[in-house]
Amino acid sequence: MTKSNFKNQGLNSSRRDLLKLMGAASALPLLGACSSLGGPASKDLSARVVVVGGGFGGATAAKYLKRNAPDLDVTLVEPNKVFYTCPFSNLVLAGMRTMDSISHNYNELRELGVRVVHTTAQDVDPVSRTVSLGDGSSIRYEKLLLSPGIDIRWNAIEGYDQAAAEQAPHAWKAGDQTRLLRRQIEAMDDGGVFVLTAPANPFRCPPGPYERASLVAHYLSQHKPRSKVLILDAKDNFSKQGLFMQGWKDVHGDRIEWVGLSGDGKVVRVDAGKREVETEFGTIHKASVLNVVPPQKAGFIADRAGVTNESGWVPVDPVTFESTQVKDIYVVGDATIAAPMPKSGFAANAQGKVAAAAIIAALEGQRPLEPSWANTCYSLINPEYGISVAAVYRIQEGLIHESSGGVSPSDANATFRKLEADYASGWYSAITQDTWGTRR
Amino acid sequence: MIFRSLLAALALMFVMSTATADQRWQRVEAVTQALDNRVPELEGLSLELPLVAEDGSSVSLSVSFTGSLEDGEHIEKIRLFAPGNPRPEVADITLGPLASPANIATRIRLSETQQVVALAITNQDRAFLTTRDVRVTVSGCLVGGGDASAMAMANPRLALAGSARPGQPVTVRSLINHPMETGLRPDGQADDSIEQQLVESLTATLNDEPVLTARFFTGTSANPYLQFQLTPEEEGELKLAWQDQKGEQMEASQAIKF
Repeated sequence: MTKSNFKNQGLNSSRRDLLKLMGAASALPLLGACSSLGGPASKDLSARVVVVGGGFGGATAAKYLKRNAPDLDVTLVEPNKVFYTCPFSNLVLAGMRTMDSISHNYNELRELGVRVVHTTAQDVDPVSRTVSLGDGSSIRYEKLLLSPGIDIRWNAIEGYDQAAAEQAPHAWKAGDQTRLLRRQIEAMDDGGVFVLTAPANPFRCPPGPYERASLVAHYLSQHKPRSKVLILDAKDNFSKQGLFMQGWKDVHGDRIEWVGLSGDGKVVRVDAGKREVETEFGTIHKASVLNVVPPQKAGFIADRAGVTNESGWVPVDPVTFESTQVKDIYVVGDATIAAPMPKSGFAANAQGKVAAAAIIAALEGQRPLEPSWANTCYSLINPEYGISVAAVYRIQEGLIHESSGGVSPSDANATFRKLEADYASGWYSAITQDTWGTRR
Repeated sequence: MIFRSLLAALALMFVMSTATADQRWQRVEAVTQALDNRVPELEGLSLELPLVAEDGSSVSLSVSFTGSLEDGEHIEKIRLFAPGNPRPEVADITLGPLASPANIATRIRLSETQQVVALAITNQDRAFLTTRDVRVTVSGCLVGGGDASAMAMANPRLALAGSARPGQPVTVRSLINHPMETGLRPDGQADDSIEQQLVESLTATLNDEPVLTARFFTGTSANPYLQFQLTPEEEGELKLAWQDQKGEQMEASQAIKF
């Protein structure tokens, strides 16, 4: 063992723990390389790391930073005391779950010694390495990790602005918007049409609109059986398309109608007051409940930090998830350009772990490990019918590539679909417990 | 002519000597043939494509001319190339003076990560060229256009986005349903491909005056979409006619009223 490794021994053992933990979720290939990396002994493990955003990416990163380098001074900035997940919010819309059952808090992070500050991050100055906070104070960082999620591109569809979202909710950030849409669905007349408009790629949760249509159709079949669901899509191809379409046929008959891009499904104008949309070729659709899933971009603070590019999303070094535009700012989750990894909670969790390990490595003066990530995503056609997609991602020629993966079989029987629906609940419990330590 | 070629060759040598990664188009035969010894200006044409395409079977593209033209000069041709596809041709668009400003949007197929090339040529024989790198995460190469048995054109669509005014540009959108079989897609039998079937062309006229003609190739997505600007001087009937490889035609029309 070299002298520098001896010095770092305490850390290396915590790194091994980190890697063990990460192995479970993100299957890191490893480790041999780690102990041979001497590197300059510029370790600074009392450094201050600031994490902005307490969702899947940020909460996971804060937890794994503190757990694996307990001397680090880790602050999490998150405005909400209670975090509602987008995953399983479609179940709330269908009356299958309560808002409480998708709520999470920051108690575990506090117990681990993370300082949790409930305020907004307003600005980032990468020169003075300072984050300005909504309460007027500011906080310095050595390393900054942003997990800002998405913001809506207001007016990207004519007429769809913040005021319109109060009448035609997006419910693409869970919380009040979810409650509003749920109330509208409950108040809908039997025989009405639930219209969901889906955006072009890229957007948060690629299978999300189609699971939502499925579960709203399930609710309608129970409570308002003469009602229909119409999906107007700005794409011709979507996630798990074959499985969704087969599931709709199997379970929902002709209750769900999907109109893709080449069938004039792209919505170009919204009149939220009239609950009306107009497509590219001038067709007007009237809705009883109008749910607009609008075009999106990286969360606001990413723009302020200067890490977004012209696409509105954040380019990152795929090995570390450090911004390619601003040094010492790491970005994870839906805000990043990590395709072919999807913008999903599970992917954000895996990226949070990789970025946490990369930050610790950088503070130690070590080279980052070669990462890999996994993503698993379940969708429900109804409470008894689940489908899934899973993939593993690795670096090839400096870019993220899917190294293996697949979807549920197309010819599975009802028992198999029911099992997948059960696995979906297990998946939710496991990923939220790993992220927030809450048991749901 | 010889003199022009010589000048062009000299200029090209100069350009090539300062070539960077952004001049890969110089090695694409389809592009150099289309240039026909013209030396393109590299400023003035703007090409928009996503940096990352998550579905290579339908990638939104728009190209517009933002440079300056002489009096009486207009963009006469816009040609699009995807040199990383099995066949580089995407679309050739011929614009008349009514199809101004030169601003085209369509949807293209990309089989792999590559640099897309747009070329514009004016009626005074000036050329403008620009390129754009696109990372493709799901290849559009083998994705079918939907129902392979539905080889006929269907559902021609035409719409104006906004209202027409004399001398003011209005956006025209068009779409027709068709699988645009490339002839490169295996049909499941050994060594055999599904026969090529393309919508070959779209012709737009206003009161029988030519507005625009588009030729589509294998690089155009299934259900060919084309958006352009129309600057009408008088009211009348805008007519679009699509023709497929079998010679069949479909039409759509729209009244232009001020």
